[in-house]
Amino acid sequence: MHCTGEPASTRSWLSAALAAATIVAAACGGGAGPGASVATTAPAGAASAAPTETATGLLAQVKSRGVLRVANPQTSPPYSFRDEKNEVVGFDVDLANDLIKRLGIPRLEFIQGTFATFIPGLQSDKWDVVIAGQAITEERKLQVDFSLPYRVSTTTIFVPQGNTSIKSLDDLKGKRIAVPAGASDVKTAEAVPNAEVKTYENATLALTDVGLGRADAYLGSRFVGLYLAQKNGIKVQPAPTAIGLEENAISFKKGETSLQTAIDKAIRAMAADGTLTTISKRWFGQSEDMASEVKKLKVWQ
Amino acid sequence: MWDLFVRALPLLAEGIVVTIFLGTTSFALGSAIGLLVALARLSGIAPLTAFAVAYLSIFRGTPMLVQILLIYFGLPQLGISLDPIPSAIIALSLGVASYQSENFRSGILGVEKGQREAAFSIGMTSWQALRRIIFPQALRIATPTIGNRFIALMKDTSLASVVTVVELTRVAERIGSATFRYLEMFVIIAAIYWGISTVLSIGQETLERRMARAF
Repeated sequence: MHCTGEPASTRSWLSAALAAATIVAAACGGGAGPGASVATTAPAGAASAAPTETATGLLAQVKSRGVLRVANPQTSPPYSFRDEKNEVVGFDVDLANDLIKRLGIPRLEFIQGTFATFIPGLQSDKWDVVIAGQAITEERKLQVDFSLPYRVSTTTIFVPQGNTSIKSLDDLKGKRIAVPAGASDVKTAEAVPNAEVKTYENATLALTDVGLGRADAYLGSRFVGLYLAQKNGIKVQPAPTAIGLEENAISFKKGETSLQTAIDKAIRAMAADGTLTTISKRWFGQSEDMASEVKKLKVWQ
Repeated sequence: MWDLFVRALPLLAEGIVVTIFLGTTSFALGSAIGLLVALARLSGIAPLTAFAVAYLSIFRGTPMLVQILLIYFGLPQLGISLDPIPSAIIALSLGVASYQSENFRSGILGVEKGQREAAFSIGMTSWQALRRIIFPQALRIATPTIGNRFIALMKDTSLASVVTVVELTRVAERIGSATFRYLEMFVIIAAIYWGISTVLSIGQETLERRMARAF
C-alpha cells in the first residue's frame, strides 16, 4: 500500500524524511561530549526562587553547579521537539523549566539522547535527570529511581485507516506490531502470541510504516498517535478501545533521596497550583487536564 | 550479568543469525557489484568509467546509515516499498561495493604490467589474460584489504537496526528497554561482535598464509 492523495503524501514524505533525519542527529549527538546537541535556557526570575532546604548528594551538586542537565529525545512532539526556530519546546520542556524554578536552580541544559542512551547516561553522570515520559515499571525500578508520575498516557492500538478488524490485543495475534524502540509498549507487544514486533527510532516512523502497510498496527500513547497522524497526514486511526494506562515519570540515579524528595514536592506543587493544568492545555488541547489525571493515580494519594 | 545473558539468550541467538546472514549476504553481493564497478572503472570505455566514478562518489561519499534510511523510508514515496531485511541487504551491499571496487582496482593495478603483456604475447585474449593471469594475482594483493572490509561490514550490520531489523544491536536495545540494563546488554553484544570478528580475522590470516605460498 502506498500513499495516495497528494497533499497528505507530500507531507508524510517530508515528515518521514524529517523523522529519519533526527535519527542521524540523535545517533551523532547522543552523548554529552563535544558536538552533542545542547540547548541552554535561563528562564527569567529563576534566581528569585531561593532553595528552601539543605540539599545533599546529587541535588547539592546540581545546585552548586547552577545547572540541571536534562536528557530528552527532542524528536517526540508534543513532549520535546525542536520548533521552527530550532528551540527545544514541548510539554516536558515546560515542565523542566518550571521544575528548576521550584528547585532553586538557575539554569537548565537540554541534552539530546535516545531511549537507548538515557539510562547509561544517568549511570555515568552525563546528565542529572531524564524527562522523557519514561513509563514506570517494576523491572526498570531496579535500575533507576522514578519521581511521582507527572503525566499519564492511555495506550491505544492504531490501525491503517478503514481497518475495522483489529479492536483489541487479541486481534493482533500473528500480526506485525510497530512500536518505538525503548517504549514500554514493546513488552506489551512481545506478549502477543506469534506477533512480529517491529521497533522504530521514533513514533513518527512507526506510525508511517503502519500507514504504508509494512506493519499492521501501532501500539502507543493515544494522544501521541493522534497528534502525529494529524500533523503528518499519516493514514491511521485509533482502535475503539484503550488497552492500558501508562504512568510517566522523571528518572534519575538510584539512591538520590534529597533529589527525589525535592522533585516530588515540585510536581505536587505544579499539580496543586494549576501549572500542570496550564501546560497540558497548552500542548494537549483545552480539554486536557493532566493535574486531574495524575491525581487519580494510587501513588498520588 | 549472567542472569541477563540467560534471559536474553533466545533473542540473542536470533540476533546473531540475522547479523551473520546480513553480513555474509551483503558481502557476497557487494563484492560482485564491486568487481563489476572496478572493471567498469578500468575498462577505458568512457561511459562505463564515468558510471563507476559516479557510483563510488555517491556510495562511498554518504554514510551507510543514511543510505539505509533512504532505501527503507524514502523509496516508498516513489512507490517502491521494501521489507526491512531486503532494504538492509541492498543498502549494505551497495555501500560495501564502493569499497570493494577500490580494493579490486588496487589489486588489479598492483599486478605488474609485464604480466599482461606476457599473456598477450602468448596469444591470450584480454578476457583470458584477466581471468587466468591478472585476477589470481590481483586477489592475492587485495586479500588483506578485502578481509578488513568483511570484518568492518559485519559490524556495520548494526545499522540495520534503524529499519526494524532485529539483529544483535536491536536485541540489546530491546532487552535494555525492558530492564533498563542497557550497559550490560551493550557489553554482552560487544563481546559477541568481538567473537564474530575474531573468527573472521583468523580466517583472514589463514587465507593470507595460503595466498603467500608460491603458485
